Amino acid sequence: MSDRTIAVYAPAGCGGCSESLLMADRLPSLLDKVKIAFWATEPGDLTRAEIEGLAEGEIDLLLYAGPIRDEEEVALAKLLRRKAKRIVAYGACAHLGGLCGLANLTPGARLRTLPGSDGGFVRPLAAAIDVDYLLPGCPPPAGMIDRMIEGLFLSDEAVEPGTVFAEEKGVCAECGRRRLHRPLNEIKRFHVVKPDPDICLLDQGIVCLGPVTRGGCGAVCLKANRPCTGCAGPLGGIRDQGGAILQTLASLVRFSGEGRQAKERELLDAIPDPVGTAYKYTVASSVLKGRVDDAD
Amino acid sequence: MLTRVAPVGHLAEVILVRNEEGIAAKLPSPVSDGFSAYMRGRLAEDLPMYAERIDAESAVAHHLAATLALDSCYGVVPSAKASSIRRGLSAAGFYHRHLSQLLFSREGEGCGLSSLVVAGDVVEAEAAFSALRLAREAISILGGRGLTPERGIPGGMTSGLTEVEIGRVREIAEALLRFAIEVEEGFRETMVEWVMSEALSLPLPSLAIVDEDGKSSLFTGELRFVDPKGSLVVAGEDVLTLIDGDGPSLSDPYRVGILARLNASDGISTPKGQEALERLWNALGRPPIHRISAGYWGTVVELIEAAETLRDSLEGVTPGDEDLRSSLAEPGEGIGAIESADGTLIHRYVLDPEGIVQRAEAILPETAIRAEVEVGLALALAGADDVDDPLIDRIESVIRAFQPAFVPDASFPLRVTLRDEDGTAMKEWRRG
Repeated sequence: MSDRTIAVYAPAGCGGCSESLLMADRLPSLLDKVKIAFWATEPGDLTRAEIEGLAEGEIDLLLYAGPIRDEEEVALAKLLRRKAKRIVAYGACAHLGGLCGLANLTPGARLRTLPGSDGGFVRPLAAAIDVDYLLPGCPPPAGMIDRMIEGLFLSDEAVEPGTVFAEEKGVCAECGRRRLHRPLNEIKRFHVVKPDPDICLLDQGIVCLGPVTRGGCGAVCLKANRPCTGCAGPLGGIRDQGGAILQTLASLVRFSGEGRQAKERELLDAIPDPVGTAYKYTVASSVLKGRVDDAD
Repeated sequence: MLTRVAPVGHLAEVILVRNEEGIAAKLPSPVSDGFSAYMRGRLAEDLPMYAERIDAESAVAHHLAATLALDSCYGVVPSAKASSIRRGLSAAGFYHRHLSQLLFSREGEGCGLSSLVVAGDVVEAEAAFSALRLAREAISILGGRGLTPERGIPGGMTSGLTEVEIGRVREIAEALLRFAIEVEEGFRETMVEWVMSEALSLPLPSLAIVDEDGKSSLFTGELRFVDPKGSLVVAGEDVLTLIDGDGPSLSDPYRVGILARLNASDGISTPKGQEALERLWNALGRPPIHRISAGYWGTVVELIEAAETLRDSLEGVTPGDEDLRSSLAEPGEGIGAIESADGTLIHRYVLDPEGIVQRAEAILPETAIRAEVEVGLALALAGADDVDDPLIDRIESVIRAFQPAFVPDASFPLRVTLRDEDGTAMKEWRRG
């Protein structure tokens, strides 16, 4: 195991993914067992020629963090695919497009001010190349990173391709708040009201993506008394995380009496910033993908 | 936002352009901005979590700058308790950022992780890594999450601390202080000669934040803009007129960060931090100090200051969620200014009456640092009419001089590219 080579490639994104690796308890164990081919956290760290200079399959495992923003990055990802035996889409941007995908709502947003680039359309890594494993989170929490290191480096058991290093159960399973099954008849915002820390936020009218989001983070946001924003992506079996939470909200809305349907519609229409709330990390990987303006 | 803004991180490349006037140097174009464009239409209360993803290495500072800007937008003054927790969070962020710089700014194999050394090998790598993790734990306790804090909201914090957490942060602060003192002693034993031998000195104006006594602040307070001689040009909210106004402008080169804090303040408010600062003054003289290498020394002084500030910030903070949220007024426009490890950071937002973002801007320390590096490069290139190895040496020495205050990793080689006026690469040098 001692001659395995890993590499970290994070040409875009906020840098949180590279930083998150340093928080993993298992990192020292990993560093004892691998050679590091490169740890590139800026586009300038690694040139195309340097990547081309690597032998095919020279890297045993590549951790790729950040979204795909334009054709140049597609080409580099394809090149890296040839050089790496296995690739992990590391963090929400590589996994889902991440917050960067919100740029797809702003036509013409300049994602990169590189010569000749007029901006692109954000996609998750899997839209450009085959990805072997997924490590969710923005950034991935230490527990999930440890799970990846344990699975890929410290265990003798083979890890199934397509493995997601998170829980199959949702964030709600880790939250610990009481669910009262109250009907949703008002949308509240967590900075305006003071949420009861023991009661489910949906019961209190606060939009929380816990029911549709993979667990594994320990419900850390809820424990800080703010809602889950869905950074670990959709639960297995859910194709579209944003659509799923909107559906969940719709199922919770219950008015009675005259004008019931109008009130329900009014409530759902009043969800502030529905895209930024329901699709915070998943615009780029959703069925929506982004905003398409009418042709002039 | 959301792709690296400006030259956060290390400087991997310098571009030289030959034109009729000689040789000019520039840094590669920043990798996108976009913060304003992406934030339009988003929820105000989400700004702290969006903002911290501008640059996760400075996530704590961005989170707090956004929170302060939202306080201003909602016309609210947070409680003393909320402010104390924020101040502690800021100090922990300072400590982590500075220690990261020290850990990863020396040359080494590969990614630099294999060459963990601090201050000339006088501190054990294991102890340094342990301190880094303790600082991260303090951020996690105070901010709710280790890398990307999430407790900041307009008017306060979403939740408070338990008695155990308060005790743990104090314990961490004491451990971090002991380590910082060890680092500072080691630094003086081994690195002072290097500081004194590095001659690059750039007299520039300084922008920093000071506390109510004029001492250096590692959080928020009063903005001060001083000229290269250290004389006050403008203070307080009037500094913000430099952003839009006439006269001295923030678009001209100025300095932020460690040296700027040294030059714009009247010292350090914490006792051991002040003692360490006086040792620096004894060697380098009283401010203004423009020697770039002094920033490295300043980093270890501020490590001590940050640990003391972290320890003191929770003095009198009671456990629990009470008294953490102040009532909000109608949303509007606001500005938040904070001192980050890299320098003064300003966020400015405009919200609509529903608390939806109409405009969001961030003035980043990296912009000022970038301009400062370019001033240094211009000095190195003065009078040059040809690109030869001695010139590349001078360029490299400028970049390396800034690295301690700039980057988490100098282990990558520096690339210098000569281009013609059309941008075509003519020749390339690699150093390091």
